[in-house]
Amino acid sequence: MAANSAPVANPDSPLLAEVATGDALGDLRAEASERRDAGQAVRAASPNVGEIRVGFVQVSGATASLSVCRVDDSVVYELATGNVANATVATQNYTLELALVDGQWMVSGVTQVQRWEGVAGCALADADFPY
Amino acid sequence: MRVGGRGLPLLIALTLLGIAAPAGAEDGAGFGVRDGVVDADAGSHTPGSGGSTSDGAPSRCTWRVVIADDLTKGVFGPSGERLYSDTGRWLQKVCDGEVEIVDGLFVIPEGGSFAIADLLEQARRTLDPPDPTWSASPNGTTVPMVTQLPTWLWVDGDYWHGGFSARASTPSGRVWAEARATPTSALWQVGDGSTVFCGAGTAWQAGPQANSSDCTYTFRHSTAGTAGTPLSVSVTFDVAGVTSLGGTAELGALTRTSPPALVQVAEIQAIESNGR
Repeated sequence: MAANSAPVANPDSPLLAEVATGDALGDLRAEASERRDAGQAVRAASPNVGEIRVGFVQVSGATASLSVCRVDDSVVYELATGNVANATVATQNYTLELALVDGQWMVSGVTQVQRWEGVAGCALADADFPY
Repeated sequence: MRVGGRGLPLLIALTLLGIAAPAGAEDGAGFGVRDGVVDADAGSHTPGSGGSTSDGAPSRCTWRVVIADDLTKGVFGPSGERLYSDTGRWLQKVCDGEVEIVDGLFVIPEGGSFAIADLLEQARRTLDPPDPTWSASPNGTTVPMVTQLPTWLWVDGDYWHGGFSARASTPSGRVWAEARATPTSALWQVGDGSTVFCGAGTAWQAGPQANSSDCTYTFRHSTAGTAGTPLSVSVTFDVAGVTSLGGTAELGALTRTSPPALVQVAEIQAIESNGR
């Protein structure tokens, strides 16, 4: 979120390169650029219903794959006016691919698998399941 | 692929923070997603159609495997239920490099999608044990039952231990659910308004005492002059669900009742002769 937060989204934030590599890093930077060019930033919702659950972790040598269920309630707003551009809540099911780079796991690919409006889908999954 | 939505950096950062020790996680089957691109031009056997670009030129669409094995990666229905495709694979349509949403879905199940709860319900509906078969001693047909003496009643062993079950599965059989019926009790209707509640009962054999069965009934009245008394038994089963995923479920109870059979009850007349 730091790269997309006020005062202005920063696609060159070194924070991005600390967590992502390859295509994923490119996507992050592109998103931050779009956000900056649109004069928008992202902030946490208040009250906050956001949630991230990780499961189905598979590790194979220096790569890994995992599923992430995210309830996204972050708020996109216009920097100039403070007007909210998007405050909808959505649930997303992603597959993240990780690569071990210099001893640190970094995201190398993100694939959105599913999406629902509101808190739904994977966020309601039985606790017996891996997430 | 670009991922829509807000705060992707937040997703990635928090996800990584949440991975305490991925090296300690269970090794999986590895990744097949990137190597699993399915060449599926428009009109092929894969779901959906290729469409065309705005200038009328046919678009180049491929189906790529996003989930190679849905036993090791979760796909969910809107209420949080796990979904499984017939093959385990879930495909994403990519046209000219852009992910195309098909019928509102990012991923399409190969061979259809199935929920375990639905398979369990289907198996439960299919489960249909036959009506019980039973025996009695005396049997009430060739040999009449006798008033004031216990009549042995039992559900035939082949029925009681029949192991009735029904299975529903994906077409390939990769994921399945089975409903299994286990008999728990037998309720006998003996025709005079009385009932006898037992387990399987004990099959009569020569030798034991006449009262050594836990399932008997003693008639008090003869059926002489009538067609007989209707006797039937209702067997109640507990139904349990088991699945290929190792889960179990309680699926309630079901009962099967034998058609009533008319049995004869005789009275043995004794003439007391003043002590002689």
